[in-house]
Amino acid sequence: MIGARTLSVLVLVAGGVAAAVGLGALAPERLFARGWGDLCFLGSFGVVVGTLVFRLWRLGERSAHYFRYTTDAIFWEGAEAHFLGGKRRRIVIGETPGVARELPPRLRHALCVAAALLYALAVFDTRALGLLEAFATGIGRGGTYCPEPSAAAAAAPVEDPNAPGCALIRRAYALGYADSLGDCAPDKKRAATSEAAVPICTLRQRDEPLLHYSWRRLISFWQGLEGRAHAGTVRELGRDFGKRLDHLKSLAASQRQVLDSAPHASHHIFTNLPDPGGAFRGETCGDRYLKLGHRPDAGTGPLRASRVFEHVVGQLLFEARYEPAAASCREVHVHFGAPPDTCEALAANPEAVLTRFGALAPVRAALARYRVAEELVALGGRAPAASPEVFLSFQCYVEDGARATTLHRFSLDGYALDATSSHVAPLADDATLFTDRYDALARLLVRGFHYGALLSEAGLAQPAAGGLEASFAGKDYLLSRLYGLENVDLYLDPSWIGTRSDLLEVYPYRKHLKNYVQIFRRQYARERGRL
Amino acid sequence: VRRALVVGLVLVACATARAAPRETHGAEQRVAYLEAALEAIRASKTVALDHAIEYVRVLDAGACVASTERLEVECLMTAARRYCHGAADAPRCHAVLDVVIAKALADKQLLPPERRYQLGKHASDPRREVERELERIHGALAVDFRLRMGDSDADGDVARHIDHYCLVSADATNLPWQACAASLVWFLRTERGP
Repeated sequence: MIGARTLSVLVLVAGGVAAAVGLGALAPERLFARGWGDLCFLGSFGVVVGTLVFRLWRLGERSAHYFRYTTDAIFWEGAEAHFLGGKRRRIVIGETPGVARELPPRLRHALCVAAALLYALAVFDTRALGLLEAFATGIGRGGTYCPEPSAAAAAAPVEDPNAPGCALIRRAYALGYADSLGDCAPDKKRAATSEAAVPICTLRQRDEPLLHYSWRRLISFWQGLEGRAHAGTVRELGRDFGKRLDHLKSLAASQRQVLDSAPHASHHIFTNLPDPGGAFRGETCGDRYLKLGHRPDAGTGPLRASRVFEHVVGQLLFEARYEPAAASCREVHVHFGAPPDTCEALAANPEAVLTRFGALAPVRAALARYRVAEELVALGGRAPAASPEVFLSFQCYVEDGARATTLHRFSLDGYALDATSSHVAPLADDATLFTDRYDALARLLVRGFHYGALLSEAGLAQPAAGGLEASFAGKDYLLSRLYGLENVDLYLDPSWIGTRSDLLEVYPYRKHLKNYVQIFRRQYARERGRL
Repeated sequence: VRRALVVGLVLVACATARAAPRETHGAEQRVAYLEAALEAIRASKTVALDHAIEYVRVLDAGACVASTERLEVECLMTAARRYCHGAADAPRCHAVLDVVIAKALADKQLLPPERRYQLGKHASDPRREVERELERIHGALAVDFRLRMGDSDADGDVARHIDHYCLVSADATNLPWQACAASLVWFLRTERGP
């Protein structure tokens, strides 16, 4: 025997749970995707609406009716009546206040709030909240009246009294020394254009009665409705609906990809170098490469080459000191410890190699996104990149001294792709200059990357090594002399400065490194990208 | 045999000299030079410093303007050598002029033309406004230096600290070593130092 009010509360909660679960509102990724502002709004909505329902429906009071499940033979006792069910099993409704079981009023209140919160979670998605916010902003903006004529006049462009040379010509014209103002005369054409450019204000005039304004709005609304509500529009709507219905699967897939944050690209770099420790991890990548030193902190030991590799790749793709990162951390996967012939193996058996490195899933997710985007072009969606090679790339960086760059072509899921492998000399133990690593990696990531004198900040007139040696031989003016290094771009020609470890310590890296990174990113953006 | 040995030794000496070029900006050389510069600025009279500043400013804005930084620096250094020629304490004069030139070139990097234009646009005395802004930047650098490196005042310690600070902070401030060092040497050893 349960009170009707308690049962109503429980039904409300069950409905809320069913709606929230059914619409996927309680999925962890959906909850994490909502911002704090959204969650605050939904919480407030739950408290206010839940409390209103609790108060207005008087769910805190004792129930006047109760429900009871029974299997007894039909026996109408007192004020009980058949409510639901058959002859054997049924639910009866009774009218004896005070005998039914009830939940405590505070618990009922809490359940009402919870039910309202669950409904809000199910109904209000981020887009709906955005629309609500835009509506509130629009309401708050006001401006139902046309602006004052003086304000409109002030906004109109005026003739520039300080136009070069015009003061003298105006003065000469005023004194009668000139027949006309010439170019300094007010531009009638421009004035006419600016007058015509001022839009007619259809808002309420300052002296317009409210009734007239309302009537004008009604007429305007009706004319708009007449213009839209004809058979052609309905047919167009029907056609549009049919088209969307035909692509329902793609639309649902697109929604799912957005909710799951499916990758927009998948770029893979395989290297035979060992992992220097925590490099290019999705969780830490953003912070780790936000600001890097100008020179790699290579240290010593077996991980020296890996640390330089990590620094160079981080600087070329992710560092945000000079400009926004060229790629998203979670879409660039670096596979350390790969065999030197990974690219050859990839070309021979792409699925097996990608599976071995755990790269098949992100690659297929990006391809799925590409397919969906292609299908949604018919519905007016943005056309994706012309070729999957833009958002799917595979490079092998091998330090084994072979010195060769090879292009391997292969096919995956029917798409033609390629992998570039670059073999370079191992890093020397005593190397202090890493410009050759920058060059090798930049050429690997961007096919045909070129950095020449025309692109350098040092200018075309590069100083000769002999002249530089003489410039930096003196022992006086040590501070001033160093400004001469601004015209020495070590990323262009490191031959002379590479021999001067003392100057490398005080070299102005920020100027030339910044330029190098910017040039690289410009070329990278032309070749690679995301969906 | 002796002749062959001599020729061999000469060849080895030449090869070694070519392999290891003469260093001018090694760590010890930098610190020693900064120490001398600190001493030179402190020992110079305010009038002499002001005169040196004005001399470099005029050259930098006129005769030594060049399309490349290297030519401009060479011109300023040549003019500075002429300025110090026959001075009572020539080495000190050279050290002071070097700091003044490096600081003048640093000021251009610290306050780029567009920022100078903004500052001067609404100011009644644009030059004073720019100077005040530069003073503020140099002061901020000196405060950061003091906070990080302590407040030892001996020339040797300060020189070592300046060298270390300017090398380490280059990644964060994007300031060239010489600009940072000249700014600190000047600010710490003139009356405005913290």
